[in-house]
Amino acid sequence: MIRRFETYAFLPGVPEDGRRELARVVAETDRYIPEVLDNWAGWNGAGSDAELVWEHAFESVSAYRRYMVHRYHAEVLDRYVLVDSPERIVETLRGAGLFGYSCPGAPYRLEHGARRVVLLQLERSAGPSEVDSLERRLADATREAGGVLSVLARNTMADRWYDGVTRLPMPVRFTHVWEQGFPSGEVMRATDVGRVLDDPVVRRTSELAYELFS
Amino acid sequence: MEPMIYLVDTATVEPADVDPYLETLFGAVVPVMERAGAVFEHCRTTSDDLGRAVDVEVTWSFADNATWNAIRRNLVLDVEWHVCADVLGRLRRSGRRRFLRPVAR
Repeated sequence: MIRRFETYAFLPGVPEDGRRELARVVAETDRYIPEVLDNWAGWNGAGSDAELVWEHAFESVSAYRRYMVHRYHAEVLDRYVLVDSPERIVETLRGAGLFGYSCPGAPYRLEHGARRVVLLQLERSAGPSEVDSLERRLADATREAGGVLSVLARNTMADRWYDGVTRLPMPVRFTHVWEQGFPSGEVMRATDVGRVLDDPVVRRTSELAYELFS
Repeated sequence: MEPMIYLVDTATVEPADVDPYLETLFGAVVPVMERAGAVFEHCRTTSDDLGRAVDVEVTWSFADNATWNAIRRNLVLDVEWHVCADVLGRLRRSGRRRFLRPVAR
């Protein structure tokens, strides 16, 4: 599976109905593009710049490529997002942008509830054993907090958005993606991930937290 | 190959901003778009001497959605596209983007 996120921060002055329109457009994407799976949106309640989060997945690289050339993508989604569109309502510089990873199966899958996503920049010196150890600690902390899933993966989509494979010459600010699932926003908001992320291999983080809607 | 899709951008611009808008369009945007693979079709405006906001309509063409996807990749990787898109964004008051297809009579 290809797991993918897009996050948006709105331009100053965008009215509430414009915000809701983009949220509706992303939340309805799977109705128009069947290749888009596990499609949810959420309003970010964490402190990072992103306001709207769109999470989804694709079964394969070929499914992702069909999404990339689908009319709904170019003609509806990009209408509000692409930097040169006269109807653009989101900023390009704030927010976390586009990120994601590849994984076997769908360990991220939530049918309802709330999600916390933490983008991590790990130290370049962090080796596989240190990353594995971090992954275990993050999973333990999630379980102890009442979470139902924890996935840590290398962020591979930020510079491979074009076709899911080819690396493009773009800067990637965060090396890893950690996502947690919770049965409700209340349980999620009662948790604090600051302690578990206070780790020598973690250089920088950016957090998103939202309740799922579609 | 005959173009099958027309990208029509319509921007509403204050009269005083029409000239700088068109200068940026023809001086910067057209070369960037053509470099990315789009074909410039035409640019039209509403009357600019009525003291009212002016609509500037620009039309590009390309073969299909796969071609547009490649053009979009080229644009995203072109620093000049980001610069001139920002300039046009500051000059327009509002706008509209549509992808249109020919209709047979």
